[in-house]
Amino acid sequence: MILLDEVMDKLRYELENLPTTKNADITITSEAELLKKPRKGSDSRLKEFILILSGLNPVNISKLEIHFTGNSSVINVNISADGRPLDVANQNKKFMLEKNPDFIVDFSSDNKYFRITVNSPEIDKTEPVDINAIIRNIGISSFDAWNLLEGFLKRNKNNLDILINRKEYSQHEQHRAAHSLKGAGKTLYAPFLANAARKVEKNIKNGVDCKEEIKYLESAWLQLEEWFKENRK
Amino acid sequence: MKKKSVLYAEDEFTNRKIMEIQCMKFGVDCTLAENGMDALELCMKNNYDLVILDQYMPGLNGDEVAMELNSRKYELPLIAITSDDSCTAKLKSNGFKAVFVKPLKASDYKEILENYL
Repeated sequence: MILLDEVMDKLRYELENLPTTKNADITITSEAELLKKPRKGSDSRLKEFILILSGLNPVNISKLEIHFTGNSSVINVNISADGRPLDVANQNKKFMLEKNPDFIVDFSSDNKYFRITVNSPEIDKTEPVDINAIIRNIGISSFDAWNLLEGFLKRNKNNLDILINRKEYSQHEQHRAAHSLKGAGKTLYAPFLANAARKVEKNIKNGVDCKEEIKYLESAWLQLEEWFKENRK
Repeated sequence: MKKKSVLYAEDEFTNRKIMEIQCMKFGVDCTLAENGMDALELCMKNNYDLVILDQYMPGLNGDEVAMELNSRKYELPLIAITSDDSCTAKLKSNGFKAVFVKPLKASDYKEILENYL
């Protein structure tokens, strides 16, 4: 599952620590529509691929621009550095394309700009959790998967309560609660819960008000609870 | 033959439960701790074949537990699990033999419980 705003944050962190880009003026932006829904795919693979490309330029970059565009099926990552040719094109293009069949990489004719296209459709909004993905990807039985989900709903309710009653708790406790919900949401392939918790976690970390985000998180939680009651096997 | 044993420290229920299920599947004894301090105490009292530490935990984080264990000349392999894939290099330099990034897949559990035991 790809949470694009999480990818953007992690990517920034990585780039700010890479030798070739750490002193660069880095701009990472996205079309607002793209940030609304989680997407199918692996965020670590997407980020890793961008880093390979960014890290291939042997000279120090002073200005790096990354802009995400796309639609309901694909994400495009548009990258340019200093408005000058990037060394990645000729020697590595074929290798990268062969190594990463999920990605399409286009270079401009002057090699000053390239775009990666990733097949990453929006996750279907009707299912708050993908129980088959739990079974398949974690390698557990259907029985265990349902028990896991039941346990999650029982044991993590307190984390939601911490966020709803956040004035009674420290920033650290709030952050931990949101972090746990995000992590468990991702583990259990509950994309809307994970995405909502991710936004709450980010706002708490930055000391930004997150009343609306918590409302959304609460609604994602209730939707999951409801779904569980209706579908429990 | 004596079963191999693992200590897994993780504050979040879901991940603890999955590790427990995976250990059962691989015939490994699994002890669970809910925070870093408990993990440290358990390591001092018991002999495990492998210690797996979540990085972000209440009280002591995984790397802090590892540093404490290293200062006490603890020689068993330590594995870190983190949700932040940008800190894998740092964790390895803190003495972890391997670092796995959440959410873990079936193949990750297999690797942990087969290759590091």
